[in-house]
Amino acid sequence: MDAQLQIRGQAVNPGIFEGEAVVSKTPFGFYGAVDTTTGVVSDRRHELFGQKIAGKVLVFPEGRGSTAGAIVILELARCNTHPGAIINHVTEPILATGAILARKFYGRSIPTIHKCDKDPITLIQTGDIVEVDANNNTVTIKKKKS
Amino acid sequence: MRSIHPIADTVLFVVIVCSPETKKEYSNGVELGRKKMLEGSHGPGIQLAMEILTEVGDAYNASRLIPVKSAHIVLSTYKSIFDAGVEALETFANLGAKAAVPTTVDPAGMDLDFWEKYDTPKDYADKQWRIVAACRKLDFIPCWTCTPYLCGLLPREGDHLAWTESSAVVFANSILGARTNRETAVIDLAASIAGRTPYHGLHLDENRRGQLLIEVQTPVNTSEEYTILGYFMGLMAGNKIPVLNGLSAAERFEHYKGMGAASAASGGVPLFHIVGVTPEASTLKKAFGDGPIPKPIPFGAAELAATKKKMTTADPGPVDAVMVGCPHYTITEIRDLAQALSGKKIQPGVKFWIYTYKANVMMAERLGYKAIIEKAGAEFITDTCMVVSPTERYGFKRVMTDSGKCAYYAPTQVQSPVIFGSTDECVQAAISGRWNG
Repeated sequence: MDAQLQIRGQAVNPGIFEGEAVVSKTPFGFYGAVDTTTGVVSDRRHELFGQKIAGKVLVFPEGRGSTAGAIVILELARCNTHPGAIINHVTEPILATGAILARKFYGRSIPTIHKCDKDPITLIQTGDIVEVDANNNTVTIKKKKS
Repeated sequence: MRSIHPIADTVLFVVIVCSPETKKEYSNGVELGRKKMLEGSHGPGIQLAMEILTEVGDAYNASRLIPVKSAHIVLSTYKSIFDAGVEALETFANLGAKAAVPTTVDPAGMDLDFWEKYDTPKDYADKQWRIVAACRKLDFIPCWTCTPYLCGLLPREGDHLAWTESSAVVFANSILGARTNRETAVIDLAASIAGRTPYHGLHLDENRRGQLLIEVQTPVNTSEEYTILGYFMGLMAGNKIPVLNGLSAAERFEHYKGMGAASAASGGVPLFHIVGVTPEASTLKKAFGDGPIPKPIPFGAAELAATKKKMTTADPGPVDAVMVGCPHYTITEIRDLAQALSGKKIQPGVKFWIYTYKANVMMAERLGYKAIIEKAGAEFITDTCMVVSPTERYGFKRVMTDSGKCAYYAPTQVQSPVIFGSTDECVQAAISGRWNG
């Protein structure tokens, strides 16, 4: 595969971040699902259980669950355990709200991109190094996991 | 391009077909002064609130912000808002911000007078006092209740609101005909300070139409039956808007309070219609906005019985605690309970906790109900409830409630198996100390 595959999408929250990807094939909701002090997924029923999302490029189809998700993202930002960037099929407004609050209250940037021209969930694998440039609407897979 | 709601804005409308840039500026509903608020001429608190609301409005594709009549804030209990929620309140309070519209607060995370009696950890209480202090600075009405419509705010049909608290939202939308989304924590705070909220979702006519039909085929008269119907409705509807047909007007508004709360917990119902009863559903046709009417889902005696069974997760056995008042008990519900408990004695060791707001306890005292209830061995806990205070610390093995919302949340929030029953069944279990199934 092309080592520098680029996907185009739409920015929901601005910023640039490069890091390791964590990919979920199922929807993910933050409320009651993450240990905010460590940034590790604590919901035993979810496929990401036990995975660290802090400082990662978090890729999942869409959000789910409670409107309290926004305050959880804000708390992750306060604890500096928030994801470095988010890529979705469709970003729910509640997730976008969390990212906006994280920037306003704690100056944390969580670049967020959705509605990509290629499916990020099949193209990106957990462990890939990915750059999310939400200022230019691009996602670049820099290095596939070996 | 959205249509302009005739009553939604105050000053001046300029209708422009949006280019992406003008949409960001909400230029199709230009409101004089908004720009000044964003620039900071009204103070840094309003500026921050407006910045947040403008960006969040964009995320929701809202055409603009609209003025609201009131706000209700869920950033009230330390149990569910984290330190980030405390800091958000303090950020606005320290910027000198004040509520721009009447603003009430949801239950606190503990009884603000008797928190020590209920084994509240000191560090938890310290965080709660920071919340209380920030709310005071922000001029929020300290009713600490999930029923603000009984204690400070009375929305009218068509009023736009920025409310959180799922049980209050569904009551305001469905029974009062007011218009509010299920706002998110912190956005409710920003909306209170700016006196505005993004114009989208349930503020718009086209999003308030029924989406599924439930045909009520069994008598629904008592508080218990309404609560079970609400729970069923939430399971069927999820986040959608159900229409109930075949249900006559309830004898008491309390029945709607319990029904709506159950539906907003077992599902995420933001609004329901009752044909011929609620303000936006004079006819079945109208409830669906003159659109197609879906195939009805029956609610008969079998569904009633099956749903009641589903609401209980505990096996028969000794009861540790009975918890009522979710949403907060009204003075009428307190009166009924006083009658049921009059001359009775609750089994020693069984907790019987009644949650309500402070003013109701004062009235119960004047009416003599408080003395009757306390003589039987039950207690009032005010400013809070079983879901948002640290009740999990008691390690209960079997709690009983007459609330559909509490039945839904007890397994996670009280961390105990739960039994749902009528208020009379709760009283019987408390007196015998057992629930026999």
